[in-house]
Amino acid sequence: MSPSYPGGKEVCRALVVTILALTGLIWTGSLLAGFLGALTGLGGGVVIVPLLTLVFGVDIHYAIGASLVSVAATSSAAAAVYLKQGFANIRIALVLELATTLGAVGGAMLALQLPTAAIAVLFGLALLLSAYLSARPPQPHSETQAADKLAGVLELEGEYPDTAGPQSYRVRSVGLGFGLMGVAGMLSGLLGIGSGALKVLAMDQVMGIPFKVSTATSNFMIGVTAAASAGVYLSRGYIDPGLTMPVMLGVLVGSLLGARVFIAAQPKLLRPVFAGVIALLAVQMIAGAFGGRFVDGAL
Amino acid sequence: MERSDGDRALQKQMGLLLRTGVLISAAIVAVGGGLYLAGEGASIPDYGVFHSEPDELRSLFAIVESARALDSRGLMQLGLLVVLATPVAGVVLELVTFARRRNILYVGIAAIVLAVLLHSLTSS
Repeated sequence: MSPSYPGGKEVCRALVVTILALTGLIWTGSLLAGFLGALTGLGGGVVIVPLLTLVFGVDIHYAIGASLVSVAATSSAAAAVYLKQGFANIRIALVLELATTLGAVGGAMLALQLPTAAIAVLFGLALLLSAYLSARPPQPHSETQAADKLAGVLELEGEYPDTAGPQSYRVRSVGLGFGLMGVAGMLSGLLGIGSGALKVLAMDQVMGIPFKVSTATSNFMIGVTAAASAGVYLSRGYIDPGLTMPVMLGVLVGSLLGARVFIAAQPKLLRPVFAGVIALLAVQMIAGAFGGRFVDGAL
Repeated sequence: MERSDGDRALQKQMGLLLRTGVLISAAIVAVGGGLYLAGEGASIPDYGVFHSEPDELRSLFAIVESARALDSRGLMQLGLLVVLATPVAGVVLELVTFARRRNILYVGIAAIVLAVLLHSLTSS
């Protein structure tokens, strides 16, 4: 039996960190992650696993379980606000959830088979992709288009509130969007993240859904997707209540605070800075995997 | 337009459901967390190596049992279960709403999503 992250364990022992102290530290770190995630619109979930594994020396399985539950809580809280305002499209969400939930269950099953080092490398790559997607300038949105036949059958068109009155929109490329959602769901189940960046990309860029509706609908779908894979994690004993408690409460409070500041002022500089932090964590995860930091423990 | 009015009502009910679920969950987790820290706060944590959670924290019924016994870890786990069950309740709401409107297509879609979720959450 070899420890998953020997350095972390020794540090913990040397400092004699109690559960109380560790819980306080994890709560503070998660609060910051949730705050920055909401402030930049990137979501805090993506930094939770690197934070827990690299900084606190937590085994990656526990980290993924804690992250999944926290992501579900935060997205549901955010979705509640968007739903009240009328942005999230429930029909689009339900259709795409067919893909994300099946992908999520598949991803969670795969995570149980893969060596932890492989999960760490995949995590690093997913972080790099998300840093890239968030750092690049906003893409032009091609507005019009022949509506998709499938979108018509499924009655996916909708409208959202705007200062100039309700705006209506149509939906295209349902098939391709559905496929991308399957991938997003799989990454979510495999890595314990919300895959919000990929979900928004699929809806906004591929399916031609307005950005605000895409963001709102993505948040709404994340809870359902996370619940699908969390069931697998729960039954295999990957969700530790003592560890998940400070993560969930921290991310939740942090993101609610972040959302308030976000509405008041949208900071332009913060986004590339946070994207830089994510890229740095990605390199750490990958380097850690090749440096023997993520070794399979006793399963 | 009738359809968008119906969808607007569903959006509002769904928003209320999600907010209530998250609040109840956070409250249970916070209470369980307080008890946990009061009881075990001074111990040394061991999260460095994965060894699966005990049976009473892994399945639906066992978690409810252990929370009823006011076990702090059981209470926190119950709160986490509530946050996972909240979106599932949302899909049930969609199923009922579309069934009332006799929208067979969406009843079917909601039923499949619900089946995947329930299978995943109860397969333990």
